[in-house]
Amino acid sequence: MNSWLMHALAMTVVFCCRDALSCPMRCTCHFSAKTTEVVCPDADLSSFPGDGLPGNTTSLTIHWQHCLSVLTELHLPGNKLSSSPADLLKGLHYLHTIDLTDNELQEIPAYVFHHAPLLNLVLKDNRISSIHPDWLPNNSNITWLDLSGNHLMKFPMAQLQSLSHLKVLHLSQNKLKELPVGCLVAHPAQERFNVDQNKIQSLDVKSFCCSGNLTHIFLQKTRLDSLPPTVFQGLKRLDYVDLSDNRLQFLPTGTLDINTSWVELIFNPWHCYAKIEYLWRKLTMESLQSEPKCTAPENLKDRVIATLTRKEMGLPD
Amino acid sequence: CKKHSGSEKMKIFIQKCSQCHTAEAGGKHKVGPSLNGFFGRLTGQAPAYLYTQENVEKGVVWKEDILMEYLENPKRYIPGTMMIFAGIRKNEERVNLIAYLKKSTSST
Repeated sequence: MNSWLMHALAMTVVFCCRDALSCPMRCTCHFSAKTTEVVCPDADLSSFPGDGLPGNTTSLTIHWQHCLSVLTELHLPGNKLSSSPADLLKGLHYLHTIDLTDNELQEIPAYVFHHAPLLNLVLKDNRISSIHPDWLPNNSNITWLDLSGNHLMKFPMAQLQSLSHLKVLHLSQNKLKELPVGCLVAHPAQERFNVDQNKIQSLDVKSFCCSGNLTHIFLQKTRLDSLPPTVFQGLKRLDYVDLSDNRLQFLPTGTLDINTSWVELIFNPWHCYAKIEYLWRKLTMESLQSEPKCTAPENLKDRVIATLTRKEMGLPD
Repeated sequence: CKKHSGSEKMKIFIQKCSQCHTAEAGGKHKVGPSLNGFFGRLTGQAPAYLYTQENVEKGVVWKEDILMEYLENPKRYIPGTMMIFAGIRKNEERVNLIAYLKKSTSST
């Protein structure tokens, strides 16, 4: 089975059937026994093909059904694509990966990513502010979804409901203000959750409820000023949690009673009064691989917490 | 120049690379190839991984200066790459990541 890898697409290209293919202008083509690759790095696409639109100098015409039905990957980063018609991927029965990083998509309509058996969908760095709940099919097998660097104000619960095979979810660099209760319940296989650089401020006790397969949680730069002490309970495979660059002043007892090898805590305004004792004990007795420092009181500023004495924290011996 | 501890450098790898790559000896291929042994090797040579033709034909040896250019914008350096990664803009971050890669992928 020959498969096509198309990395970017030239303007005004019409693909004939494979037997008659000559390499499009300004592209490089590689033919081998296993693959055919068409590489067109100088593309400047501004619109997807509509139904039966003729090619002209500003729009791309590709007859997917005729020639590209064996397409497995579509890489279109760094173009100016701003809209995507419904049923775009009709007939692409082998397409598993789409990269649309750095385009200008704003709204994702219904059905646009139906028809193809997508596993990897990367929509990083667009301007997406709304996603229709039917943008992906109910039986979607997507494992990697990247929506980072967009304008999402709310965690897209309805839009992600059917993604029962999701393993990696990127929502970094959006405008999320909270992680709703049970936001990951629909994804029991989820391993990685990147939600850094949002405005979350606080987590619900059940934000990560039941996600026993989570290995990595990235929460840096989310303006967290507190953590519920049981928020990481039950996450038996958690290897790495990044809580750096937040507004945490202390951690309630029990927060880090988890079997996690690395919890990153630097760049928080840790207040090294008596309340810091739990964190101090954790840092001195276990290896959390992190060296957070005090911000207050003034006389302990910039001291590594693990080097404090009980007396310095105002604790009895 | 800020001095970064070993773990600071490893953090960059964890955040930006470990979803798709392993570095250690015996590490498996994931979405991307295992990086073990790649330093000082020609592009596209990890055994049993299907690279694109352009990656294999790039024909350069991976080392610090090449990686500085590649990791800033992988698609610019190897236009036919399938690697979905926008790149790392900050010089210092790349320097630190490359130092970590050099060390961690040379383990046998």
